[in-house]
Amino acid sequence: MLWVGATLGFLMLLRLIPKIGWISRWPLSFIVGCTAGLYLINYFSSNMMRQVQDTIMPLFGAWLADPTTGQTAFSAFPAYDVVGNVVVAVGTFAGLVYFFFSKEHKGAFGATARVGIFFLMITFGASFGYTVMSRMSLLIGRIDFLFGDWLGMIR
Amino acid sequence: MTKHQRKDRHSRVGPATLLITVSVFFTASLSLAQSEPTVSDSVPVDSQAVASIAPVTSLIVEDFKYDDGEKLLLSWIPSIDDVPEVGRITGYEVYRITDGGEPEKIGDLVAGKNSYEDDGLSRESQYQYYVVALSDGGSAMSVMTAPSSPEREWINFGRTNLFLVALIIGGAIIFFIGSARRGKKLFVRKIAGLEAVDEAIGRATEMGRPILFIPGIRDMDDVQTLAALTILGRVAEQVANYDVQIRMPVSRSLVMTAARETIKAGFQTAGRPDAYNDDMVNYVTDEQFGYVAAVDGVMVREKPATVFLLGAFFAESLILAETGNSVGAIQIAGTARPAQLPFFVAACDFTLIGEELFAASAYLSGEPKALGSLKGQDVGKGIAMAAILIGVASATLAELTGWGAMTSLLEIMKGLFSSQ
Repeated sequence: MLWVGATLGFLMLLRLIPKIGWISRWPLSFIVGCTAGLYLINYFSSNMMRQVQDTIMPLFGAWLADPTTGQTAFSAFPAYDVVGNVVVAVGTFAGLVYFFFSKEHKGAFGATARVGIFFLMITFGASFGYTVMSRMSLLIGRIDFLFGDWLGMIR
Repeated sequence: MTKHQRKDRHSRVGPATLLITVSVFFTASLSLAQSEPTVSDSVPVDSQAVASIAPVTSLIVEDFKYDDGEKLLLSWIPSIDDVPEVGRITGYEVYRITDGGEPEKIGDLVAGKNSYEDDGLSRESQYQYYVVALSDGGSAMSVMTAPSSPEREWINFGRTNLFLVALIIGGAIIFFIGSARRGKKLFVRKIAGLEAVDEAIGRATEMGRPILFIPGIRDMDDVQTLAALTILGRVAEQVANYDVQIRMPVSRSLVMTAARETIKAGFQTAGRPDAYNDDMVNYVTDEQFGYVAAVDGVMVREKPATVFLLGAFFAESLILAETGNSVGAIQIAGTARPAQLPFFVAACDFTLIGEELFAASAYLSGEPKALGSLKGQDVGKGIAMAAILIGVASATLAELTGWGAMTSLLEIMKGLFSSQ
């Protein structure tokens, strides 16, 4: 394996010789190709396959086994679970529609894309609020230290 | 053997258990004798004694699938005395013999366990295993496995589905790049942030103030910086056409060089190479907040009419966007960092959200490779959308109605998108 690295490194140095400098593109393309291939698997696995798999779920209820009798029966999910499942399924689907660039956002497709951007904006709002609150918490902590522990003005 | 152990054996062990114990010990002894005569000398002292408990049975060693040849998987049927209510088995010990050498304890397991993964092995060595069941009164050794070695697999067939999806999307990208090269017009929907670029440059022209372009704080190895420079090419062309000033402080030396080349190319395309000068782009510092302070200073002093914040941003995103907002600039921002997007959405006039930033470079450049990639990715999104729609519908209907067809469809969908 060391020979592969040494050869690729040597080919890279050929860039210094203008006449055969084009050969230095081979190791570069090898590195870019290998890196892309390695990242591709991780990205596909986590950003696509896993997300799709986790979104595939029953929305309203499931057949579950009774722990005492062992018999299976249909059990409706609690209302908050149903809402949560619908939000995940609709939000993911509508978000994907928004980021679909090959079709004009018109008609039903456009309406779904609009739902998608609503989901995104609500997410951004929550994220913004969370960050602001965490910064406020840091500020309060510092003030507490300065005026309480250090200056002793807050008891 | 202690008095207590003897009493325990006579009082609890029935004839069937005794028979099994004796036969297992007979088999174990035979196996030990056949496989490695020296091993019997090195078996722990407890197991030499007549055990009051049954050993584990059906000990199997298998190669761990789809690894680099470093792992073996052991499995067995727990001792028949391993019953939680009775609690006679206190645990198991796993022993390994490497290349016929001395036994080495490699694992202590709690009662009820029936498997063990032996990691960090060599493909060149032969390994044998046995499991010792432990109780307060003694121990019982299983038969020893035949010598085996881990194997390396070159292809992970557990990820065939991943390969198929990647093949479809990769094929679609190649197909669309080919189509674009043959001159076929590929449709890309309008992106609001990009439609505003011309308007924002026009505003700077009318106000007689400069345009400030910030390409993020990452280097040229970040794809977001590359996307920002592609948009810069288009902006530079318009800047040259409208004869407006552009200022571009950067935090990376390589970005400075690339940005200068990009702007120069834009001015040449617009037919005004004479209007270009290197001072349009200047390096400030690699330090994150040193750079932010410098850019904020430029914003406050020069009061640009338009600010572009495109690329990879971190904690500085809101500081920059707020300062731009305070000087009354029209701001077009874009990043693929989800944590920074909320700040841009809150403080800027237009925001390119995530993939829109990359789509923008294809949209503006019209390059076949970029357009083909964008269309190919849309195929991937189409597959994901269809899978979610069919998957959720089949999962819900399968649970509500119990239809066999729906259950089968659900299994297919889950299998297709399982990630290992």
